[in-house]
Formats: sequence, C-alpha cells, structure tokens
Amino acid sequence: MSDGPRALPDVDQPAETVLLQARLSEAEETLRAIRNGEVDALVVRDATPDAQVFSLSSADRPYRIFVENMRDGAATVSEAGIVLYANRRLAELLGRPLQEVIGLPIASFIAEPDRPGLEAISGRGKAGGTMEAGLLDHGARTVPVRVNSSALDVDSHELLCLTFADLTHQRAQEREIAVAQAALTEQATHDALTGLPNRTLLVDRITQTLARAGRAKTSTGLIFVDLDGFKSVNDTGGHAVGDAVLREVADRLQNVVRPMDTVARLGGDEFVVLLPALESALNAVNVAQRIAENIDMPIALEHGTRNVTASIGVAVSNPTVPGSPATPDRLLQHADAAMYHAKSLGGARTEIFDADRTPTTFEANRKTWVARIRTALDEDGFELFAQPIVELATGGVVQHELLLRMRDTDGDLIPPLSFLPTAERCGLIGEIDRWVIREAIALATRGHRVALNLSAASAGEPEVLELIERELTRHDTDPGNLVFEITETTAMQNIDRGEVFAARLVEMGCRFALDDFGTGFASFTYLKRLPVQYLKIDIEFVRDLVRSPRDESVVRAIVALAAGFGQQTIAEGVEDDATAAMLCDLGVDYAQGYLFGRPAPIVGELAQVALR
Amino acid sequence: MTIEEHARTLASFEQALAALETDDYELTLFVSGASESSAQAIANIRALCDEHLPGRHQLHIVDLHQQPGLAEGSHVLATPTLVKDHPLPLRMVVGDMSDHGRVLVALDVAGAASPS
Repeated sequence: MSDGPRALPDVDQPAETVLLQARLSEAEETLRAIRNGEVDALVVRDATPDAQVFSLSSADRPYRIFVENMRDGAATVSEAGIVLYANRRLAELLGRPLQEVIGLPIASFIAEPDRPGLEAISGRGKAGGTMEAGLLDHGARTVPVRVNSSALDVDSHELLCLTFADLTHQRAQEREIAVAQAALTEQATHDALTGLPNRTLLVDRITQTLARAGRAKTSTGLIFVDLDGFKSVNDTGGHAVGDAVLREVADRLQNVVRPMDTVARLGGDEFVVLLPALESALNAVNVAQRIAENIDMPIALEHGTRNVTASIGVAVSNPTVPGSPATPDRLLQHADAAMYHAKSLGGARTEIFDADRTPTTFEANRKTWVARIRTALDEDGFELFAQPIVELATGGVVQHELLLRMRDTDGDLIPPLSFLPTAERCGLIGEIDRWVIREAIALATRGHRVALNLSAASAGEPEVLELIERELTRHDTDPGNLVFEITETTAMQNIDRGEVFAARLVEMGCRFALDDFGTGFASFTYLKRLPVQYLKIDIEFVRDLVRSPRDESVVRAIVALAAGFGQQTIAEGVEDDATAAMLCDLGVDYAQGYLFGRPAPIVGELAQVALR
Repeated sequence: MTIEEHARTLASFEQALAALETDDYELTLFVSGASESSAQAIANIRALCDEHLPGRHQLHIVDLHQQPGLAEGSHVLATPTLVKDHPLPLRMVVGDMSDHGRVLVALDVAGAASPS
C-alpha cells in the first residue's frame, strides 16, 4: 500500500476547487446509477437534522411500517444466508445496532447447536418451517426464540423471510410452573417440619411393601411411636422447643433404622416406622426397643436438655398367617391400638399387637357412632353453620361456606371430624350429602351465595347430579349462587368421574372449587381437565405463612398456577391481619378464617355484598 | 543504549509504521430496506470484499430507512451508495455494485487486489 496511489490534494489548486471537483464527481456517479436504474431511494437534506429518504417505489410502504412495528423480530435473508434487511425488534433481540446485523450471515446470530436446524428449514429449496432456537445476543446470552421461515420470491431471486418470536417470558412461566409442581409434590408427600414422609407417602409405601411381601412371603413390621406428655413440652417450652424435640426425635428414628425402612411423621407427636422384609416379628420388636432407648436419651436444646419418653406399638403383617393384617389401614390400626395399649399402661413402654390381648375400642366405638348418625338423620339433628368468605382487596363478604355440624340428642354440638369418617365408611354419607344439597339450594334460592362440601361418595354420583338439577329447577334458583367444593384428594380418586361431574355442574351454571388444595397429589394434567373456578389454599400453608418462607413459596406457586389456569384463589384459616395483608400482597383473591368470622349458626339472612 | 538496541527500536518503529500504512479498509454501504438494488448491493459488496480484501476490511451496512440520522456527515445522495472511509481519499460508488471491476477501481482496491 505504501507505494499505492495516495490522492493528496494538488498543491497547485485551491482547496475549494478540489472539494467542488469531488462533489461533482459524486453527483456524476449518482446520475450514472440513476440512469442505469440501480438506485432505489434518494436522500434529501433540508433544515431538519435527519436526512429524508424517498423510496423511488413506495408500494411497500404500508408493509414496511407494519414490519417495523411487529412484536417479533423479522429479517429477509439472501440465498447465501446474508441478512439483507432486519427490523428494529430483531436488532433489539440481538442487542446490537442494526448496521451490525444487516449484511452478516444469519447463522452467526444463532446458537451453534441450532444452526443445522435452521439450515433444515431455510436451506436452498426447502424454505418453510418452524423451530425453536437460541439467538446469540451481544452479551453472549442466548435468547430463546421460535423461528418461522418462509420463502419469498422477488424478481426470480429466492429470498427467505424469517421471524423470531421471543420465548423468554414463556420459558420463565414454564420454569415457574415446574418449580411449583415440584414444591407441591414435595409438600404433598413430606412433612414440612422434619422433612420426613407424611401419611400419604407412608400409606403408599405400606401398600407397595405389603404387595412385595405377599409375593416374597416375608413379614412387614410397623412401629407406631407417640411421645408421652408432648403437650406439656409445647406448653412449658413453647412451640420452638416442641419443634426442636420433634426434629431431634425424627433424626434419632432415622439413625436407628435401615436405609430400606421408612420413618414417617403422621402429625403432632406421632411417628411411624415401616420395616419391610423382616425374617420374624422379633426383628420388629428389637427395632422398637432400640427406638425406645434412643428416645429416652436426653435431648440437648438451646437452653438445657429435655427428657422425653414414648409409647410404642408394634404390629406385624405375615402373609403366611391367616387373618394377619394385609392392608395399610389394618396394619396401621393394629400398631395404633398397640400404641394406645402402651399409653394406657402408663406410657414409656412398648406393646405388641395381639388380637386376643390388645383392646380395640375402635369397633365398639364405630357401632355407637353409626347409631348416632342414623338418629341425627331421622330426627333432624344436622345443622349448617356459615362462615363468611371475603374479598381480600375490599374486605366485602362475597359468599359463605356452609359447614356441617351434628346436634347430639343431648344437645351437644359435634364437629364433623368426629362423625364424617364413620359416616363415610358406613355409607351414610350419601344421605348426609343429599340433606346438605337441599339446604344449600334453599339458601341459594333466597339469593345467598353459598359454598357446600360434597364427599367423595357423592361427587360423581349421577343421582346426586339429578337431585341438584331437579332442586334448582323446582325452586327456580340462580345456579350461580352455588359453589360446590370437592377436596383435591376426592377429585383425584376418580378423575374421569370428577371431570364429568364438575363439567355437568358448570354446565348447569354452578361454580366449582377444589378444596384443601396442595395437600393431595393433583397432577397438573388432571388439574387442567377440571373446570375449576376456585382453588382453596389449605390452612396448612396459611397458618404460619408470615413466618415460613417455605409456605410463602407454596402460596406464591399456587397463585401463579391459578393465574395460569384462569382460576381464583381462596385462603383458608386466616386468623390475623398480618397474614391477610400478606395473602393480599401475594395476589390471593379471597379468604376465610376467624379473622373475618367463625362458622356460626344461620340466623335470619346472611350478610353479603352485591357482586360487581 | 547500544547500537543493537537502537537498531531494534528503529525496526519496531518501522514495523508499526508499516502496519499503519496497510490499515484495514473501512467501508460503509448505505441501503434502503431490502429493495432489489439494495439487496444486490449487499450481496455483491460482501462477495467482493471476501474475495479481494479478506481479513482486511470492515463493512458497515446502514439502512437509511431505519436510521436516517446516520446519513449525516456523508454526502450520500441516493441508495445504494458505498463509501470508502479509509484509507483516504474518501471515495463513493453508487449503484448495485454488480460491476466488480468498476467498484475495485473506484475504491483504489485494484492495486491491492489478490490475483483473481
């Protein structure tokens, strides 16, 4: 280059002349190109800062504006893969100025692994198709996009039109839902305090173990551990001490057992240890003794130590012995009964279930409960209480949940947990449900918006649907006043029936809520199939919300999930302002709990705000 | 400073000077969207640079429809126009750049061109 021509200004000519000549030759060059038809736009400068560009053919103007304002990136690409045109959005996605995009190979902006895919939908003669790819932005980040390719014939040149839809937001949402699913699954199968499997997972493991034991003819041991006087630990030391004790006991239990065994926490101070593949019942007793010894050792706490003891019940299932417990329920009942026996003998001891010696008050109890429910049904002994559900943003009562109570012959009020399990087992629950439906529809007919709970037995019964339809028609009731609540567990028991049932209710104009959400095994695939309007967040996640980041993340996940499915959320068990405020912040729509009103007998009319 | 050191310094100075002399070509192509002429010009100038100035050029492409402000400071009257910003003197070529020979001459590249 050093010997190349360097056009230095001719010293003989004044500078103005040199400049003028340069301008003149530029003008001549431009005119030549115009004559040859090679020019596509003229640039005109006036007083405005930006030059004005006039296309010689402006037929494409509307499309240009359209493409420039697209939310997706767009480019035209030559046969050789060179970007001939790119809109501003694409430059934005790539994090570079336009002039660093135009004129470069499109492949240089696509993440290496995606280049063959791009070639497949944009190569010569095979243009057309869609793929997902990573766009390399200037900071070497990869932006996920959906690329759409289509061929474009311009004057016998085959060009390629590419559009790039940004998937960043969608990907973030997918990740959030995956995290939510993982959190809910963990929450549904594990105890939050100790991280141990909960009852749901335990029952699942017992079921599997018993099935394997039946084939392998091995024994299965179940040890029920209940701490003695744990209530006093909580009462004197506070919940923090109680929690520390429970965590320590959980650790000790796990240290005693084999890796194949399961230690679960049923709740409160109740633990269960499942021992698969035992050679004899004696093995289970040995483990129980080791457990007792370990629990007896002083527990070191922040302030001093604590001594606790446990009442331990052992039950064994042996498939070779007739009458041996063969279901999880049965085995749990035996271990439970043995534990109660140990407790009734003063605690701090281990009892082995023995059909002849262990008192099973359970059966006797059940008979009296059946009789009491029967009486209540015959003698109008059931009552509905109403608890207000408020809109968190406004505090207005939008509906009431109806809660069932039984009035005993002596006038005592009995909570549902005392009689519902028996009612379900004895087949009386259907009759109770039908009574509740009639009462609820009577309230709805008077213009009250009410939510009622249906049992698993009734949810999906064609007869129940008929009853609802008949009653609604007979009273000319606004079906929109009725919300049917079904627990997540119920809905999942028979998803097909649940789906048909819910769909039919919604078709009638009623609404549908999934109760105790987060405690069951709801898979998202199933959840999508149910026409649910409300997800009710279980009290389990609400009680300690203000103190528990874990609960907060679960609530956050449920809200995100509901939003994704177009559903609203109702929090249960709200007892203080701080929790209500936090729920509101997290985006929960409605709430119920002692803060807003306890379940109360229905006297006169229910106070509710008008719906907007 | 010994004689050898002196010679070395001088040599490196001359080397640096030579590097300055053979500085990369800086070209700007002003286009107007993806019109036929502009598309042709982009494709032609890229092919030309890859063949005659491999690794020794920087090509900026400016779409004046999208960035009319970038026309400021240039004397561009129409698109497509190619401007050679470096090495001096400033030169411009207007049109679709299909006549490679003419473009090379206009840009003073002919002397530096590899045999083709």
